[in-house]
Amino acid sequence: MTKVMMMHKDYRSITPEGCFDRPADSKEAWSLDTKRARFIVKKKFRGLAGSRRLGQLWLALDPLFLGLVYYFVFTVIRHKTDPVSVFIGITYIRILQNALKSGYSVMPDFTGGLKIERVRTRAVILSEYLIGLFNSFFMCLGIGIIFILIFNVGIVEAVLFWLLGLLTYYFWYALGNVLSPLSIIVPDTKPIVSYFGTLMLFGSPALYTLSETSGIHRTINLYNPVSFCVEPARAAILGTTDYKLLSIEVAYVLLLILSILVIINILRFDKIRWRFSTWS
Amino acid sequence: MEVLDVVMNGEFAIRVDNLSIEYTSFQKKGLLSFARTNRFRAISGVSFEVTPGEVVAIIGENGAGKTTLLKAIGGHIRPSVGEVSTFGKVYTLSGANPGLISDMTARENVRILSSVYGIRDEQRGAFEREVEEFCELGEAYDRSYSTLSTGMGGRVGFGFTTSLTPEILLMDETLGVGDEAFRKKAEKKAEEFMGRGETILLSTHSLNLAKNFCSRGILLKSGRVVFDGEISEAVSTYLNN
Repeated sequence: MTKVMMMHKDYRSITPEGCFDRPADSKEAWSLDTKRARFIVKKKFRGLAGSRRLGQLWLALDPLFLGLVYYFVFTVIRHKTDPVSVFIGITYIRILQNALKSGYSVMPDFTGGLKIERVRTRAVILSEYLIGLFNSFFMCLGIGIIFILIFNVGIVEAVLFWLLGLLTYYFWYALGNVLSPLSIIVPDTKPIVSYFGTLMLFGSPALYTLSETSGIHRTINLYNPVSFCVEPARAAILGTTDYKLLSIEVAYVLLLILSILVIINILRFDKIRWRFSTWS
Repeated sequence: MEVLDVVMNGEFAIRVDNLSIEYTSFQKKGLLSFARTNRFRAISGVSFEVTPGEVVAIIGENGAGKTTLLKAIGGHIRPSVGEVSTFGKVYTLSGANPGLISDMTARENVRILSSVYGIRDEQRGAFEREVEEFCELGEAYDRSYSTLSTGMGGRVGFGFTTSLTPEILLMDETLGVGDEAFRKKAEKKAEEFMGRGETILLSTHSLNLAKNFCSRGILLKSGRVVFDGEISEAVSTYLNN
């Protein structure tokens, strides 16, 4: 085994269990993997911008416009809604929808079109988590700037708003990815993801606060991960106290679930990618 | 351990051992029927070894399993049974797009991709010049890749790919690109590229190309090896079949 590590060429073993690489120079291989992860992220965001003139700015504008639409609808229907409160809720729901969709879709090609050489799974995992980081950042950016410029929200609160968005992204992305084999074996489940996103939009305290819910609706939302991001963000930005309805024990359990989901996601990613490489 | 010992002795660059590959897809029989899982075996019990420096042609009719075999050796798809071992940096050349980004210029693409494919900093300048000179795109080289015609885009992809230096090269029917005037140049470049590859597995329908470049031929039929030996014999077995 020691002799193998001293060799000057890469060794690869491909079996039904996996594709196992032993690079000749592991330091260089890691450097290449980080470059490839950055490339995949760059290509993904350039692809999202497409030919639109405002490019990636649309990622920031999307929750802003959607927030404005719902703010308008809700002020007409209910005659009272705090716009900042709605903006916070809508941003997190858009992040949830985006993350769940990304996690649940096992793409035939994760590699950004790098076809000449097999891209190692660790590079793909790194790129997926970087995409989450930038996605949540851009989605919080537009509204964050408005908070700072118009509603006099502090920088620290705006950063907290993004960090809670990042947690939301990773939670739902990891959950989606752990369940993603279902999307290949039973493709009919794919639309359920968007139905679930819509359910979360109206069912979670996004367009209203937690204190406005009652009965079974309240009970469910006391365990809903979205509540644990939306209400603390509202508390930090608006000074609301709805977060006090939430239990700290449940928050710990949800954090534990998040950690477990992310670990399972990282450990199983290669298996899922490998298993479905011959499915179409 | 046994495999690693063989590797260390440098006895093979590629070893394929009892390889079988099955594809799974969904198939609907009628408009109102439910989709069913359909399994198709593309490769069955294939075994062979390629020694370092060998140039081997994989020949066979359409659907024989040539592309699937190359994808498996490149580590792109999962075998159902068996094992593939490779010793060296494996490049799969299939099609003429190594991952180019559509809204970047050809120049920017070559720069970013050369780093992604492991071209060292000190070699990057020469590498970029080689690709640019080969493409002969003039001012179009600084235009967005999406605005180039298919032929021009193909030049960039082909020029980039064939400027890399592989240790094991898996080549899948990629020798024709661009217009007639450019084709000869492309063929010459492909020859140089193949010359740089230490070990080559070439999947092709061009029997002349196989005879000119390869010393050994593996004939596939319905996913099985029906002949493995000297190239002229492999070609005549294929023609007789």
